[in-house]
Amino acid sequence: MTKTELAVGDSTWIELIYTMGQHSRKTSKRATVTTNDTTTGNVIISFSGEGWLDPDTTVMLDLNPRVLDFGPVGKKRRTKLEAEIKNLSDDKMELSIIDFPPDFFEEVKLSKDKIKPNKTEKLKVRLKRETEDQRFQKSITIEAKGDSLAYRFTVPVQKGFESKVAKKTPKPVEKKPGEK
Amino acid sequence: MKRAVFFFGVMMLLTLGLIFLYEAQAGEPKVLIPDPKWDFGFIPAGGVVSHHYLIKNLGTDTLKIQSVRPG
Repeated sequence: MTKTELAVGDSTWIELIYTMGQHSRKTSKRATVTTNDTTTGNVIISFSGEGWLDPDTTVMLDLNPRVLDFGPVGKKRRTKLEAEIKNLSDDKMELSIIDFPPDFFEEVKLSKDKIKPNKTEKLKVRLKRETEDQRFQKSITIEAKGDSLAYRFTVPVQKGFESKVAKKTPKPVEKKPGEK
Repeated sequence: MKRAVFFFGVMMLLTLGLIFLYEAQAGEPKVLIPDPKWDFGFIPAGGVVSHHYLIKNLGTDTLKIQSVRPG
């Protein structure tokens, strides 16, 4: 929250940060906002989400990496990162970015807004100059819609924090017959 | 003397009127959070996510955000 007092007609943002546990259960949380508006009273804000394990057979999408980690503060600066989104379904999926923090990133975009079955597209994120040296934990929410499927998923984006998301297990390389 | 009392009375009425007008204009704050519910969808297990909720003051006086508490 950047301001705690709002003049007439003014507005601000309240940021809620949540750490998903190591599970695939549905979760919902809420917070109570108390103001001096005694007529309206307290306002409840809430969110919901579902743990996404890797691998997961219920979601016909793959995200790699699962976290966009800009690394430790003070080390070699990374300003751009990409994540691959793979369509594992038989549907053509339409992608749209539906949420990211206001005024934080220089650029958040998808390489294409449609993914054919078994194809991969990229989510590209570029930091603003003023956020390059900050520690942060933010996220980007994407919606994927096909003829028979619809998903919403959120990609954590961070810098200066240790990631608790399991790193992808490398796929075993299949050996050709006769190969040692 | 009568003139002074009359003048004092008029001034008092004017002052009270101004105070009343100020109070009426000061009005009340009015909080609005247009989208109080958010769905993250699937979140990578162990991942940290965040969402920003817009909060507006649609009233006629300063809105003070006193606390934001979980639960």
